[in-house]
Amino acid sequence: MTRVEALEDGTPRSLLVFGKQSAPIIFVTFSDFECTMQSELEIPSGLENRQIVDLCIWDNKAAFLFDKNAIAVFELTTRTVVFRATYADATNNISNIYFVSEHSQPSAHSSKVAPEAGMLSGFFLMTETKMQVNKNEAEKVSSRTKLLRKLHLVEIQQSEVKVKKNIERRDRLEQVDELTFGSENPKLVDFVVAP
Amino acid sequence: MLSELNLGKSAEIIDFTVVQFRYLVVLLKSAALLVFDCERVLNGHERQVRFMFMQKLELD
Repeated sequence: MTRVEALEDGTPRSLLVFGKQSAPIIFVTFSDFECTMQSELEIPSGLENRQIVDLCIWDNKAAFLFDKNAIAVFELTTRTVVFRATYADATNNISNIYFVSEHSQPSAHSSKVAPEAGMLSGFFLMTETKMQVNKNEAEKVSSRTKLLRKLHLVEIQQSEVKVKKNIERRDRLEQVDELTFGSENPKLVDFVVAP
Repeated sequence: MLSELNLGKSAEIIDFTVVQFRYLVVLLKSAALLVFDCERVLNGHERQVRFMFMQKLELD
């Protein structure tokens, strides 16, 4: 176990505790005297041995970013996965993930049809970094520096597809916008207050 | 306060977080959670954080 994260209001005194590997991710609630509940999140197949890169929490949901740009969103009240997708458009590894609520989106996206009840909707802001190995260092001590490359604004898309016998839910992440930094060294900008 | 618990090397702090702006939760190397109530310190009533409990996580 290497990380402990508090959950936001809405869940009584709750935490997520996890290590570098995806399994186990433990959901804990506690009272004044003891941990009242400890249960493991159900990791979807194929992600059990992946490394956890980042995490973001909102409402009763937690989005885990795994290596190879895989994302899984857990509903914490049921401790199950409600969304799972891999973001393939990035040219490098995604290292940070942040959930952007639909309410904070500009009007350009508000014209879209409202999602059905129970379907997950919203956007992720993701940071792509390039890991650069310093070749001057000795092989044993190859240091790495992180360079900010791109910010991806990616929309969560869920759709229900009718298959022969049942209805399947398909999850997808689609690029909405992208900010690319031309210079590796961002310049400070002085803001001038209008008279 | 950690030394009073006689945890030895397992008292190494791995991570911590604050729940509801009040409860300080410390994750120890031994996969145990230490929970403190910071309210009275934050209000200026006490200088030392009150220790609530310690619990080891049950790992499969």
